[in-house]
Amino acid sequence: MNFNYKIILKTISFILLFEGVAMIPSWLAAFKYHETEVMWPLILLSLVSISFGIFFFKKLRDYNRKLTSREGFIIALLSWIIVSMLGSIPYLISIEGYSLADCFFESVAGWTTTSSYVIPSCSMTKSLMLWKATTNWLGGMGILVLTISIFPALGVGGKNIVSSELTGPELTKMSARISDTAKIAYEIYLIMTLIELILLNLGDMGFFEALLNTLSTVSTSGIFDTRGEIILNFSPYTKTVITLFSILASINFKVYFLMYIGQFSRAFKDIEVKSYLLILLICSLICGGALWYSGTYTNIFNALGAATVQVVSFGSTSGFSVSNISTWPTICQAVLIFLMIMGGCSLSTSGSLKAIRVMISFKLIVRGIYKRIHPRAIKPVLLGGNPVKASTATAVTVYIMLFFTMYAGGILLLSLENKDMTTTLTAALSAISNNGSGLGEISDGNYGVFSDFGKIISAILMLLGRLELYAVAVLFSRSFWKPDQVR
Amino acid sequence: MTINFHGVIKVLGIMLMILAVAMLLPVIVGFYYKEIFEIKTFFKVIIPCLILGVVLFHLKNPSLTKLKARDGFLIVSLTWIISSLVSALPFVISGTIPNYFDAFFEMCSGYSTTGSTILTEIEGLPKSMLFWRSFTHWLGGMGIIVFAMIFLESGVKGQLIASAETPGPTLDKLTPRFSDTARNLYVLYFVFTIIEAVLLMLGGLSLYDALVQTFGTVGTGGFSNYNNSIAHFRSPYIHWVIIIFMTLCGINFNLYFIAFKQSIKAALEDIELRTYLSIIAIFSLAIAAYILIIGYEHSIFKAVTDATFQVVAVITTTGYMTYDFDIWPTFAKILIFLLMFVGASSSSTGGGVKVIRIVVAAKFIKKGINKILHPNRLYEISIGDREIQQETASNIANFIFMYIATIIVGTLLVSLNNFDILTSFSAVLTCIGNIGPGFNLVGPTMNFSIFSDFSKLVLSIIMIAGRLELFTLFMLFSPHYYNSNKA
Repeated sequence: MNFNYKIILKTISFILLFEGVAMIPSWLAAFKYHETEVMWPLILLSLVSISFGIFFFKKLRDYNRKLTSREGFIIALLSWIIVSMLGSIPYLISIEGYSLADCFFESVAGWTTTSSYVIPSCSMTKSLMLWKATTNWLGGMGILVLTISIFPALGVGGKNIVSSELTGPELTKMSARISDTAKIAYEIYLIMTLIELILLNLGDMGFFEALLNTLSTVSTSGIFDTRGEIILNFSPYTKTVITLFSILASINFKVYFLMYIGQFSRAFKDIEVKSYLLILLICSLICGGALWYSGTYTNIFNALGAATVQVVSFGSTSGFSVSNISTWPTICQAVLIFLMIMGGCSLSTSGSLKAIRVMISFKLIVRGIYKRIHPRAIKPVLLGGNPVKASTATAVTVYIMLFFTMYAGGILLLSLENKDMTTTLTAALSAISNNGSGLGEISDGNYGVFSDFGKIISAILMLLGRLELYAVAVLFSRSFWKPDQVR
Repeated sequence: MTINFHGVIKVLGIMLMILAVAMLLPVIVGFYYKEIFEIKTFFKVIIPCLILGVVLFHLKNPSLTKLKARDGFLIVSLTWIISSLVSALPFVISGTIPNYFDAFFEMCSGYSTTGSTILTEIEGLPKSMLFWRSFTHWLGGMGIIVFAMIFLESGVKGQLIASAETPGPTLDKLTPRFSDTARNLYVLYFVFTIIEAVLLMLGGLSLYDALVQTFGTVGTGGFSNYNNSIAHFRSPYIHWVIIIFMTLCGINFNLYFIAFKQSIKAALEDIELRTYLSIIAIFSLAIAAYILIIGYEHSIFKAVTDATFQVVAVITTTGYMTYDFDIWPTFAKILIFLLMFVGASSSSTGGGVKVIRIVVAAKFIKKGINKILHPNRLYEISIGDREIQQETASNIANFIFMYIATIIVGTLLVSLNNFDILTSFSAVLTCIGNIGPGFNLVGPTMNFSIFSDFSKLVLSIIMIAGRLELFTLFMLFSPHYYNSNKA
């Protein structure tokens, strides 16, 4: 088991530095809102973190070695765990009556952009609220980092799936290195954030509330209802803005790249985005129709509106709710659960399987029927006119199977909490798909119904989903621990 | 190259004749119990059926010998559907099950060996009717087609038709002629039937009760003539006899011949068998241990018996019940839930995904993970000492996706009936896997009478689709199937 410990330490030091800096807005808010009991501890924590970070970073600064893929996985996994652990300290500092597991859960939910909670935001200090929102926002950015830079280097996900047009010549025209692509992604992310912030401020929200909600919706993490729920009790204008930006954050960022380099017509032709939006539309119509037909909403426009917002929320894996969806007609619940499994587009801040994988598996099924009829035919799977490579199709298949296998493990462990089946099944699904809300006892996203054990299992599932499964799956492979032994 | 409709019709003629003859059995039961009205009802169906069968069979046409695989799929699908349609008639005509959708559901459940029932009150019904209901399990268990093939030796490509029934890992050819293989399998089936019936009678059951329960066990169906299924029989001896025979009938029947011709040791090397038995052992012990440890059950013997019975009943897709698993703690329920996705062994009378596919899927995932770590190494998946072709592996993956897709579509359709999501989902799950009981409103002590005619129809189709391993039925909806010139 020989890993390059120095590189790992160097990464950790960077995390300490980074997270310490991330805490600065929070203690500034504590200062502004006169929350003195928490301000000093936060400042202390922040400074300690930054100092340790700088210290170790400086010591290892000259240590630069290429990473193997194994080390890459370890680093990805460790980073998120350490970030979450460190990130739980502000919660411990600021609030009484919550256990270590609670704070860890809250931190993980923040960083993985899942909207579930155990600490209601109404009992948080303003600085803590800002910390949660900050972790949401940075978590969203972290996802972009993972999918654009890290996973392709490790040979997983993102790049292999997205049709190759962009990751070839165009990219090199735009930017010489992958890290530059990431920078462009952050710029886009930042611009989106600023625009939403401005728009929300124009509504009836105060600045602080608008800031919190912007940070969490642009990262598809949910909303900040300072009443402590995740139910959307905002004005129609605000709801519209939030819904719009949830969609924008959950479509494939490739579209934004294409627009950035001026290729607007190709941007609008992206097959994943088109299918994703179409699916959202169809689901909204079905749900809206059912809501109106069943009398849950008497006005057809209200019904469609509520349906659309809810559908977008689940499709983008944001996880906020317009009302208690447990009272909605079963067809709506079924549609929403399907959306939870599908998730948003690849290369966005959403989670779950991702639209492109669902599309590819659908095409594989259709081809499967065709091949039964004509066993000797050669029929490639086409996506938007481009053939999908066999290795990609295999990768998608493996991913989906792995997803459900890990989900199965999750529900088995969570079942020890002895909640009813619906709660258990949707709680695990919601966690692994980074959505946040479900049905049954967790329809409002409150995982406080579970014991510490259940919260930790859910937190692990959230991390699993965010890391796109492999980072944990490889831990189960013997060749990971003993690479010299060929198996 | 179109469908050989004449050949198809001729085989259907045989099938109708067999059906007519089969219905004589309940007539005999009717004579014994003096149910004159029911006997007349049966004859009202037997006679037209026999006449029609003879007519269809004698449609003169020499192209009978050229039945191809494509015809086989149509024959199998039509056989299941038409058998169910015709077999429902006695129930409707006699008023035992007046609603035709109900009767059709019940017969689909019979032939597909699911065991879900729309009957709310079983015990008061005429004995000949209940006998016929259970007999359809026995008939469905081995496939009416294989039945027909025994009598049709000359020139029909029987093997192609049967492979329509169990595609995937191929039936090993044990004898030079397919009809010999079929006959051997039938002998085994008969032997199991007789031995179990005798053992049950030794346990105190009447011949009638013994036969009804035996049909349900050996066909892995699940119909009983008592409202509370096998729980009606208090004796642990009866429970264990049924457990053993459910297990035996969930094993790949070919292995019995391997054991007979080579050695039992050779048969025990089969990986599917080992996985199957291991799953049974592990899950039974897990549930038994859990309910003992948490104090839910105090008698070790009862815990082990109940756990094993329910586990075996679900994995073999029989669906008998001695204990309502829906009132167990969630951990046990989740284990049962997971079993519903496994199914019995291939080439057995059970349904579901089939253990061998789960084994291949697991290896597929493992290969996928290893490929991430070692992208340039060549991996192959092997079962025993044989390598699995890429083709087979991808067929299996396709099947699993098709299975999931059918469940999703089925759930959406059934959820229109507006029962809670768990009921809707588990109804679909239990039907596609031909198990029988689900959860909540379709739990082991409940029935399917609550559903609308539309839902019952959807579920009936799903039951047949599941029995025919999905593609066989769904292919019929593809235009490619009928017109091979359309590329």
